[in-house]
Amino acid sequence: MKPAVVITDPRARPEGVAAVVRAYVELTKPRIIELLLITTIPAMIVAAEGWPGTWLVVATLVGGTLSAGGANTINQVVDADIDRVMARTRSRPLPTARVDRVKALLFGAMLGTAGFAWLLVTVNELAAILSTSGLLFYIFGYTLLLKRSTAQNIVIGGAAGAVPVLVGWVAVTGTLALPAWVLFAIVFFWTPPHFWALAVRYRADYAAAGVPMLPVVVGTRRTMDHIVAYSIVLVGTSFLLVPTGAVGPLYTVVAALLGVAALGGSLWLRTAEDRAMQYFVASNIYLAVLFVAMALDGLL
Amino acid sequence: MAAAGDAFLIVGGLLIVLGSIGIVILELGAAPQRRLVSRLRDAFEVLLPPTLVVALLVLVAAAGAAGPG
Repeated sequence: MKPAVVITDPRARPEGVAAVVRAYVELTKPRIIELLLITTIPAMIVAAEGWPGTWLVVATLVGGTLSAGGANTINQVVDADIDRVMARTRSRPLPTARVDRVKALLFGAMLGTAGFAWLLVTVNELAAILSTSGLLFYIFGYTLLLKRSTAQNIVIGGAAGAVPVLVGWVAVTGTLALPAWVLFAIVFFWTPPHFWALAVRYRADYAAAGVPMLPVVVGTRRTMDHIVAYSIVLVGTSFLLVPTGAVGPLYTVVAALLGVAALGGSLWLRTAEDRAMQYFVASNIYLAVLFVAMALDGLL
Repeated sequence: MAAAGDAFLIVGGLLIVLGSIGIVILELGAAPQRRLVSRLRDAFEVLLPPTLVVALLVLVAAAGAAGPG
């Protein structure tokens, strides 16, 4: 028997239009979309070896936002039961019943479809297919297949978050060249240490919800070891962009400095788990600065 | 930039190989604690990321060896 929905949030059942709009915007997880877009624009600049054109950038970002928003919304529909259990997520629109589950599903499907159609019409076919593949992999691969069944959930599932760089590259060139796959790999290997740090902080939450995040399954100490190992691969992967010839001296210097910081940061985190959220924030900064450096390199 | 490219390929390659070995050792060490759906799936999940990144490293090295154009 399913437990009754208990509305604990004061924002539950919004009355005004603004509150309803806010709830639907919240479903799309705008903070995560921001990060996806931060990686997309530099990928486009590197692909174009300069500014790819304002209209193309705007069109790609709009399409990417629609696809990612759709994926995040449907993810919350599927995960409503565990979001209700976890303290970190129980104030989201579905656990608080601010949005009906069926309406949320339709909203997510509509966003995803609109993202595909938009990219198809304004960018190109491959960008639309890739973006929608990312959405489908996030829902079926990560959320439905991996998240509740394996500690490797965020490793394999993290590929969905790396798709926007491919979309950005393809939007400019129409094809997938080797540097695009290096960019994909950078985001792919950045994802596990980043979310494991979050999972260390909210380990009890994930355990209560029955989600086998790595710290729940192997413990905090071993998770820290995994973070170090993945950080080593991440830094190595970030270096691979230099020999492809896609970037210049600015990226080379920044990647080297950030590499030292990332490795040092992962070792620093290993000494005390209460630094997990600081590491989580620093990890965001790492990715943003790395991609800004490659963008500036392409523009200068 | 050619010298820097070679240096970053070597250092990056070493880091990738070292990190990948670390990942496999850690994952295999954690396997008894993990909820195993099947041995095949477990091996696939563990080996996929290191295999892909080493393949990428080989591709970048091969492209560098082939030279521009």
